[in-house]
Amino acid sequence: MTSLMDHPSRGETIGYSFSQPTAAPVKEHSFYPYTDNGGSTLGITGSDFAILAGDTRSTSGYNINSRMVPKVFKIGGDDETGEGAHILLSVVGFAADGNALKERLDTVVKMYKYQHGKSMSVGACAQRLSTILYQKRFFPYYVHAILAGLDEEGKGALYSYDPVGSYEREQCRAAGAASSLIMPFLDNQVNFKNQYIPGSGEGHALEPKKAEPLPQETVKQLVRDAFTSAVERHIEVGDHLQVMIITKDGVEEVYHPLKKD
Amino acid sequence: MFIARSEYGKPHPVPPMPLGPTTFSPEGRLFQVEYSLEAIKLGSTAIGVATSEGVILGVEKRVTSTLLEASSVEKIVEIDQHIGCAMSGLQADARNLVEHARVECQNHAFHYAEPLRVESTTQAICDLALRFGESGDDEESVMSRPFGVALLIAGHDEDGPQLYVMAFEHFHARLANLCLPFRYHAEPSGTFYRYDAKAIGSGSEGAQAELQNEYHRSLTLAEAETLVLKTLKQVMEEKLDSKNVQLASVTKENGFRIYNDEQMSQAVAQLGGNQ
Amino acid sequence: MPGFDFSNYNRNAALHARGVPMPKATSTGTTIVGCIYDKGVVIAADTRATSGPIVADKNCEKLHYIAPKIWCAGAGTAADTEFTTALISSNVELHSLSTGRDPRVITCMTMLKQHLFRYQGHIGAYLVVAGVDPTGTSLYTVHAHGSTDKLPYVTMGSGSLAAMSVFESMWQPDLDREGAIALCSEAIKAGIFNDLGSGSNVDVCVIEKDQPTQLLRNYMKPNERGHKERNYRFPRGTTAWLNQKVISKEDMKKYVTVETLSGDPSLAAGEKMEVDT
Repeated sequence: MTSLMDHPSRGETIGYSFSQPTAAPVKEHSFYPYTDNGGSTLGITGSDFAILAGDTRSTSGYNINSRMVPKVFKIGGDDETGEGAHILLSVVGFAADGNALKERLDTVVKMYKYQHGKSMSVGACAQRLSTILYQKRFFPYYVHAILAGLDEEGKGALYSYDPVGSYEREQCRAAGAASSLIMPFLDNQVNFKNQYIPGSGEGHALEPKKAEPLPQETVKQLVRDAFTSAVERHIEVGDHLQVMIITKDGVEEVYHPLKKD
Repeated sequence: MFIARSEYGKPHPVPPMPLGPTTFSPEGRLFQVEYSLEAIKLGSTAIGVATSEGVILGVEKRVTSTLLEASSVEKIVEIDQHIGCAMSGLQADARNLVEHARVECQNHAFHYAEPLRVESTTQAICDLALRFGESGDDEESVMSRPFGVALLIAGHDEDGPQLYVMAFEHFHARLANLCLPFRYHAEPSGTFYRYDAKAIGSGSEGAQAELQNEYHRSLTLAEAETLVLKTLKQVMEEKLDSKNVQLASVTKENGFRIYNDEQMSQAVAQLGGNQ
Repeated sequence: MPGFDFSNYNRNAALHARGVPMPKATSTGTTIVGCIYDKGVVIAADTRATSGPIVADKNCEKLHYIAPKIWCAGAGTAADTEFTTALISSNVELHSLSTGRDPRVITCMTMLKQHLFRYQGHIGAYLVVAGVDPTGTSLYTVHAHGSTDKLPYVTMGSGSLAAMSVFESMWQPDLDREGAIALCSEAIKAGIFNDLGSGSNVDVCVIEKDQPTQLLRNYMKPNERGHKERNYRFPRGTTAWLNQKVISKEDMKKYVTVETLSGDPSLAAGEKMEVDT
């Protein structure tokens, strides 16, 4: 008696006439380590302050993971509460990477103080964050980061990053899910893009409205209005608005309610 | 290999264990560290003087032969645009330390978009100076012996002009404690101190006494230059000229500048004029 | 010509193979529910329409008319739910006319499932069909591939799990009209707040024997728009322009007939549109 086991040749597998070829294609198993946790952040600077804000919703797909996951962090604080911090960081995108990045930058800023006996300037921190991000050029931190603080002259400083470390100092920046909704609003209301001074000239001679640093109260209102509007049209933004304001007197943190649908 | 001396001078019952550079002798001494101090003691004199305007570094070149090209004797080198360094002792060892300091400065500028502070640079050099002895499993290349060189590190940063001395302490302590020569063993290497004015090398004893007398807080940079040359002149065996000494300055405006032949001649001529 | 036009199918398939993305349809990533009670049936829906993560319509209607006493809540591709219900509504009425009887919910459900099955799920309509007919009260779900269910309480759409959690914890067999409305709107609210595909308001439709059907549009508005803190009116002359051309009424009369309406807004043609201010 001949056992089937003796004829393992693939070409002659015994089967029914309608059976599919059994040489199954090589199965590819892949692991995608990133998820998008939604949410949006926004930063604006003034002459003597910088504001960093973000919603507190964390999502995956159509689900809400949590309604209270802050995206704005104090960097270089003396303890877990962040007391004494002089730099702010917001991260939006993949929350796990955002947290890892925050922890790493915080450690770097603290080590810097031990090693060099002085607080790190925002400019130095900005460059350091860039190198941290670029070091993971081929397995990036999946986040859009915004760094804020006061520069050596006491002026508000804001730096925005792409996931692999390209960065720029700016007056204002929106990042995350609703960035395409908020950024044009900021261009128009902070940098006065597409706004001209009525009656200042005819045709090409019409003078564009000059951008100048806005007062703190105005900026706070713009931030809140930007988010109440983003919540209306983006499903991943909502629940609470976390706002941090950094001035020479320190960091102030406030929460505002947002729509929860 | 070094033979351990037994306590009462009797022969050791077991074959003596070879001593590594970080192994104490039965008397509690680290021979390699002590020997490194001897190396420094033999070094040429180097002087640094810090003023409110900047820092002046000066070294004697010891041009031992008329056939020696004086410009090839490099005892003052740049570490970064804002930091320079004068050496005394084994120059090859100094190159290692300086190279390390240069890399640290560049790394810092790359990561933080700002110059490395002078104190941090000095600390970085001292960290390397400590890395001798047996290599651990996870440690990469480790030096087999301590560095046989002392460094004067001059620089300028947000805290103003500064002068640091690395590795002098052993030498200094050795001289000061000739009768108790081993008291500094707890501090084998890798410490630094900040000075207003400091001399290292073979002529440092006399030079330091001179600096002690002449230094005052309101020195100008030009006066400091003269003080360095004058002090060098006193302790050098050869007659000082523009070829057998080298000067350098660190200022806020120009950073580290090494004097060229013309500037050297000028400075030496000025010294002659002043005296 | 009846039916779908497939003349662009091959071209679009070729374009897609070369990397041109397919257009994105508006989806009513939705919560819809239905629940029977002693004398009738209630269906309810949220009012959010989305296109990807963007809210396309904050107050759309997902409750569709089939017949006076048969209504349908739709989830899935917005166009498919609208056209399928409109088509079936049309056929149900013709059927009613030719038989001379009130249409039955089961007839409507059967027509829907046969239509959807024919299209093998390509018509993305997920429906809750409810109504009252001579045989009594009925409540069904119809899936895009053509399968159906008959249950005392049902949920569909992306918020179906959130809504079902409410039914499973609070439904009772002896609900009255108010109880059924309250339960359905509570289920929709669970979808609105816990499912990102659902949002805004609650629409309810109540169908009962010997009672006129009630469409309670925006029965609940738990998500009123937040107010703006700043005024975003621009001073006149803010926008740059390079040239202007004034066309007078006299000039226009050369080409078209011009009639002047009085200032009364009720005379203006067309439905009044809701506009965000």
